[in-house]
Amino acid sequence: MIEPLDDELRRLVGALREVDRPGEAARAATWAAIDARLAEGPAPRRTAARVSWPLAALAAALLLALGLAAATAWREAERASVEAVDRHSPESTPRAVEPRPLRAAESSQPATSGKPGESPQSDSSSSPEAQLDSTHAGSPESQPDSSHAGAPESQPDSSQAGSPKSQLDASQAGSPGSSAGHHASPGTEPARPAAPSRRRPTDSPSLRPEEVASFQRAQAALAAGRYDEALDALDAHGLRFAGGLFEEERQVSRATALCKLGRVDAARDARRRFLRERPGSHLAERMRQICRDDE
Amino acid sequence: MHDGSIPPVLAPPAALGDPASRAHDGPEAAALPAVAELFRDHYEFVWRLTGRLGVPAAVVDDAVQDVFVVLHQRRHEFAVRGSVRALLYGITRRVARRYRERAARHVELVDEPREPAGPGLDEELARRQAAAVLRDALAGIDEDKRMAFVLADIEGMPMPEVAECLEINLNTAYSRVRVARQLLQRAIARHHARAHRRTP
Repeated sequence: MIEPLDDELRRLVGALREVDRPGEAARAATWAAIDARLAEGPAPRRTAARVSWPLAALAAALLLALGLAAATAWREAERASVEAVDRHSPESTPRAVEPRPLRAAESSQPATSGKPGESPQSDSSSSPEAQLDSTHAGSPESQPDSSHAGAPESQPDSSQAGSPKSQLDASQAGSPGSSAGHHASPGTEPARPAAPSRRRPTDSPSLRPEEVASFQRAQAALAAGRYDEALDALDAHGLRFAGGLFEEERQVSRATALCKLGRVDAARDARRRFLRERPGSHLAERMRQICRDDE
Repeated sequence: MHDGSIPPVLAPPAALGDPASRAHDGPEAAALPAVAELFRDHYEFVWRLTGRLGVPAAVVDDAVQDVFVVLHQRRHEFAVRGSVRALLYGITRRVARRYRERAARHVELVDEPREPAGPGLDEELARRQAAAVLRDALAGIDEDKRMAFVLADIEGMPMPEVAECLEINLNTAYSRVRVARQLLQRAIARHHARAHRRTP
């Protein structure tokens, strides 16, 4: 059995417990960030490298095929337009055909699209494009799915931190608390949603996705050094979600942006106001450091 | 009573197939709850641990994120064979080590100048100063003893769970907590003596 703490140590431990406590906003922001990272998926680089080579080869082959098809189609179009010009020309003599084709093809190319003689050409040119479009359009949506679905079979290495999300979902579906879980998908593979569901912890019911997204946009601008944009976004966020969950973070970020923009007085005003209104905030220390270099 | 043979906290699921360990663990070896649930119940614990494991304040939130993301992504490698907090402690310790190494390379992250609170905040100031005294004293002792003290006396964990977190024998855990307390008391006494000398 261990003895109780002496009075002095107990007092200090009590103080440390009081002081070292994260705020609700920090909690919500951390969860929002975790949720976003989980929704993005692991995407380990190794997998990306493995997948990128076959994809690059496929894309190159597709481009080559497209180029060949386009060249053939253009030649066909040229020939067809020359024949059409010849057919409709009042003085259609065999001699007149020779010098005309290039000029005729050049000048009539846009206008000849509706001619019946060119429908095969437009079909042939549109089909590779349609193929390309469909592959391109499909890739952003289907790529995560296909990579996720393909990765576990082709690469069963589970030691990598980025294990596929489908596996993770499947395990969560079986977990006892999965109803409150993040990606609770009991059907796993067949009922896989295109966009990952973004759930919040059950104990933060006031957290709105649009509020989180709005704040994250502002934070991203701030992190990227786009301080004007960050300031605008933070002001807009403040107007839209007045007194919202990220109010303290918003004020700290706003003061940071003001300071970075050289608006030192405004930053200091913001700092003073914050410390006056929220002296016990967990962000008070951070706020105190803002724009201090210039003092 | 804890028998001192502490099962490994981070056990690969294959180990669950071992009949001996299964019999030892009984029905408690279970799958992890969903990450949202773990976050709801243990966010503050992880947040405090990251700070006390030496992660600079500026990146504590990032480290906390990493803990839960790792927990989610590698959940198949983990199985709860005892305390969930012990599992979280193991992950947090590894994540914290990474952040400490990174902070050592980027010295500016470690720099955390502290300011006295504003006027009219005497009580808050006193509390912060008291906390800072203990924080400094904790920083002065080695991690093994520090974390034994943190888990037992600050987090209020039962000693068997402390032993499980630290993957040590129960008696060793008791011993570490005792030694940590002695070291802290000495460090605090030195601090008071210095403060006494400074004030006329």
